[in-house]
Amino acid sequence: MTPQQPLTLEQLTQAHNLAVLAPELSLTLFALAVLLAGAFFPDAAQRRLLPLLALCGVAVAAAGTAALWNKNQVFGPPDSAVYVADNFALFFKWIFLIGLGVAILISGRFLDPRSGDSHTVIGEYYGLMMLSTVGMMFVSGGRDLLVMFLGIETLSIALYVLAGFARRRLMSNEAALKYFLLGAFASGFLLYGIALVYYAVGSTAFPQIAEVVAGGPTRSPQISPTILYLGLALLVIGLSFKAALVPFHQWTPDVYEGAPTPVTAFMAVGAKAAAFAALLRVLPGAFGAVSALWHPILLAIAVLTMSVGNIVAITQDSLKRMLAYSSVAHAGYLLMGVLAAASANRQIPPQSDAAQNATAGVMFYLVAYALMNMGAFAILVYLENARANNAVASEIARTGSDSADSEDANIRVDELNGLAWREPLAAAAMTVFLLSLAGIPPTAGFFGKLYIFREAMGQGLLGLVLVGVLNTVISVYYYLRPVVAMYSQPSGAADAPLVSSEGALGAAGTGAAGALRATSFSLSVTLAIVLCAVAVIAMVVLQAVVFPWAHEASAIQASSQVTRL
Amino acid sequence: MPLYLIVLLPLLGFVVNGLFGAKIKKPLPGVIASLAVGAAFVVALLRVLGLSAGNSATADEPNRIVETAYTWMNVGSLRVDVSFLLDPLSAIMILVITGIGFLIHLYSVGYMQDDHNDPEGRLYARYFAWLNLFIAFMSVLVLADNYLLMFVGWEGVGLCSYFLIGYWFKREDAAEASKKAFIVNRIGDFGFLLGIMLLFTATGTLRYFGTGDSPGALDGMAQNAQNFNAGTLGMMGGITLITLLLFVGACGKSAQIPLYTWLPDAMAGPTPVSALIHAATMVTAGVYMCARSSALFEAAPDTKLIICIIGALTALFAGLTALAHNDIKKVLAYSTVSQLGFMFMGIGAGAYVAAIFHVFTHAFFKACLFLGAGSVIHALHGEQDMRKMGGLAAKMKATNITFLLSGLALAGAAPLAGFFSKDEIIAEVWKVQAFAPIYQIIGVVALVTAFITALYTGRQYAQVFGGKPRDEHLHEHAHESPPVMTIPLWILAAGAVVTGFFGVPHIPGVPEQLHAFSNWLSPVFVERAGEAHASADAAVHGAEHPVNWALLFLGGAIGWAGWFLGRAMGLRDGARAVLPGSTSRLSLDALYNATVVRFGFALSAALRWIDEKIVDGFVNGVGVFVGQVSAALRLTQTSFVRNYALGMALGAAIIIALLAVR
Repeated sequence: MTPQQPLTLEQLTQAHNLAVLAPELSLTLFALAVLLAGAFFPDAAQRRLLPLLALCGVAVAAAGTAALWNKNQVFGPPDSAVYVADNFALFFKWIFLIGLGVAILISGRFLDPRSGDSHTVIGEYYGLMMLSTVGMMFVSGGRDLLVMFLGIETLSIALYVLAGFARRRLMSNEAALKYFLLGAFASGFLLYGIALVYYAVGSTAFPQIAEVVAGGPTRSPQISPTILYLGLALLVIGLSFKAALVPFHQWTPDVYEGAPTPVTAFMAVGAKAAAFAALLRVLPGAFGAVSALWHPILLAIAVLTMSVGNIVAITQDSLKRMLAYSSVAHAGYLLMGVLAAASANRQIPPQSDAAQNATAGVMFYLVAYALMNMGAFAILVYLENARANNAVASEIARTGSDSADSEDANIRVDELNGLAWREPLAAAAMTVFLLSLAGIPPTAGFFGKLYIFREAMGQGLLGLVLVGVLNTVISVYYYLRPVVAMYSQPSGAADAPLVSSEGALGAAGTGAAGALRATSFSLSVTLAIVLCAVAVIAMVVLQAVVFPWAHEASAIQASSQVTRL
Repeated sequence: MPLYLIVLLPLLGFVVNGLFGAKIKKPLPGVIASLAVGAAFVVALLRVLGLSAGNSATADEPNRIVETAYTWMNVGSLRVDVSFLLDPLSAIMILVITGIGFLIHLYSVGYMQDDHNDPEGRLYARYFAWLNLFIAFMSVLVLADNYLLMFVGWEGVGLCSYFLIGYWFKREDAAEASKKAFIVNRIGDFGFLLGIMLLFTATGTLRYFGTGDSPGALDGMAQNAQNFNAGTLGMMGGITLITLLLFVGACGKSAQIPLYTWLPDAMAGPTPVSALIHAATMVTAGVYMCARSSALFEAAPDTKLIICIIGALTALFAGLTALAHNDIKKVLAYSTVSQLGFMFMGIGAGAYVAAIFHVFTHAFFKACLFLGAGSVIHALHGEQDMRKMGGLAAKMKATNITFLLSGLALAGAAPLAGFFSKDEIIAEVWKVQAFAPIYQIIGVVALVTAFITALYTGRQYAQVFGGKPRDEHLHEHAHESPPVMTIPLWILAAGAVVTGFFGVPHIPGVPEQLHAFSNWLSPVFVERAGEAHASADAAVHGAEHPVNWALLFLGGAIGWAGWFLGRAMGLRDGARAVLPGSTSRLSLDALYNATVVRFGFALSAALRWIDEKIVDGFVNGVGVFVGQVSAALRLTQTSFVRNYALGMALGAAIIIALLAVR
């Protein structure tokens, strides 16, 4: 960063191509509109209007992203631009938008006054989610450590608030506080790391860092490389926290479990994808030249992340917590792809084709991960909704009034018993998501693993692949538990069914119960589930389209890094 | 007619039954499903006839049809087509799958009509939907022209097997068994997948056979061998490693030691499922895969030896275990494991034709035995304990005769199908020149196992159909099954009688037509190493005759002798003969109880104990161990922020130390 005179708006628009920011700007504008609408409309209208407005924002941003595809535009002068809209960034923006869109679809009941919190501020909820997405977009497009940092902070601060959005629930408050405290800790590492790298290299821009590191590794012989390595270590730590890699993962289960389920889903997909966008740009990218240094460390982290995530997931009874650990494990598989990309670049001569394939593998995996994870969480929301409805219905039956305090206690695996008989479609969809998470063909998750494992194998990371494969076998065990539960008979009458039959509702008074069931949110949740399930299965065919996209997107990433040498 | 129709038709049946099945009345879903598979069989038959009409295969121009449905993925160096391959090998497999599949669908219409586990019939359509989906995936498996597509079929049949074993979800054992089958198979599958990926690394392609200038993974092993032995891959054993990994996959799917434990448990599923999936088709997929990859295995003699040893051990072990079981289906299940062991002995000896021939004949007689057992279970209202049966011959004529014929075929009694195919394998094991002493020991083990096979088969037949009824009440209500069930039995039994004559051994004086099977199939496989000139050499060929003749007579004698001995055992008071260590009076009756049989039972009881306690215990123990590690790790999750921060700080310290302090 060179010191610059402040620019007027006119100068700014002349020197910089604002069109590059189309997705970010449109999403921000819609977020502001949502916030404003939240201030002016009555609650009931907000509930119908705001999600639609937010979805419009998603659609416009997606269209903007699509319009920029293959244009490879940069914000500012091409050689020193700190923000770019290369295909790499645009591909990630789509992933974020998938996460945001589905999260909006499944947020309905959580904001319903009958869910226990009658003073939820709807506008802020959607607004924060959208602004958090803008932060993610900045991470993916930033070609400078500071832009990346700002993006990470924008997305994180919004998430801190969202995690605690169920104000009346203790767990939610606890989640927000924990996330904030530890997140601040991690941000400290990150920022300190950036400062040290700046001192050692003299720039925070990725191309310059790559250039200096490849030649120096610091800007002058007087500066010890240790400073650079220390900075790099701190960067790795900060990013590992955001990506929930072991041993910086411990916040994950608590925060994922405590946060409202739609927020958890959003967080698990969006924040993780953003962290990997940053990891890909920073590690094989800016610091590719010293990959011999960080490669073994990240290898150990990958092994630990996969193993700890999967092994601990086995003994979880809460479905949400199990999915939290599963998302930790998936970060390990993703890291495998990052390592493969770095290994390929390290070969002499660099195998840029293999590096590109590995990067594309990570990106494809993230798409699959987004779809199957959003789907699984959508099912969770669906089940929570059903349980809350039953609780309300039985409350009406008991006291004649609608004042049930349906705390969203987490759904246990054994509560799924016999779900297939009451809700065959939900059970079928959940089975699809779980099989995909386990990586069983012909689902999206299988292709994700296939692409990543293949590239890791191609780079001779046999031990790593072996660990990955073993972990996949372990993971089948816990992914299958819910499936077995769903397709087995309820163990006894003592288990309160999650989704009761019509008979139970009938006893609660048909009028009230009927009114409760016919809410619009159940429709949107169902829509989200169906979309995800269809996408997960259709990936058998669609991967022939999506992977080439990812491949194109990673081409720019790879070539922009190769120029450093 | 395009080849993909064979996959598409049952898939269509699956979709129709899956979507609308719940609204269609019994037995229409069954009829739809049967028609779909029947139509697929007709398509397959027409295509195979077309293939054989153009049968002018030479070494340079193999008899092979490849049809590409569409390009599945095309990224960088990886190009995978959804394309189907019809050659003599896949032709045999697809005919077995759709043909026997059709018969079993038909049988199921009757068998599932009154399902006492599902009185309302809510599951009926679902059963046929899964069965159809299974046929579709199985067809993908054998018709695929590349390893990735084969893997998709491979996983797909595993999934269908999982759902069908757990079909009676209300039964605890069914739910457990389905999960176990799935998880054990995953271990094998990942070996398989690793093998495929290494193969891709070595050859740069996943297609079996190339076209024009782009060779396939199995083409031209001379050049390929260099790729296998280069770099890291070479250091790790190259082709031996790859073939071993492929075999791990085969072990899982085809229930070989140590991954066989799921198959006996899988009997918790409906009996027609056991017949179709766990006897005739899916479990032979591992054998098919190895035979398909014969070019690789021929280049890895060490792997072949290991396969042969594991096959022999599995065959012997499972055969002895079968002697100690009293559940009519469990006996057949262990028998299947044992016969699969025979097939792998064939693979290990490089006798791919013999192995596939045994797959072929076994599909008939074992499916017939399972369906016959199903007919018995059906007649006895779900009773599976052979100690309560007996004397059913008079009550169930069709079942009795078909069971007898296919039982004799399994026992290897000349001249039924099993005799020819099993004998062929044993003879081939005998002939292997590399590691000859070990192979000869294996050959002896194989002969012993053949005897044991006859023993438990004869015993089973006698216990079920022979003698006097042991449970009068059950016997009184027994009845023959309806024609929709007995007609498939007759057809399969006919197959058990005649199919052997397609593969009579190469002995002078035998007309050429009786070698139809090997003439049809052998061009597919790579010649066994060192045999190319040996077989051309008339002198060597002549020297083999005595061995062949001797084995032929020995095999036939062993089959019959074992059968009659076993039958006598079964006819004796079942309870006493069956329970090892039970009080036996010192009488002439207990003559062989005191000698051979006694010893055999003690051994097989011990094996059963090892099977249940140690092998199972090991498989379960791994699970328990992982669970305990999990619980221990869980303790670190204290939910205190300060501890998490400490954890982060420690992690950070380590990373900083590793990166920056040097």
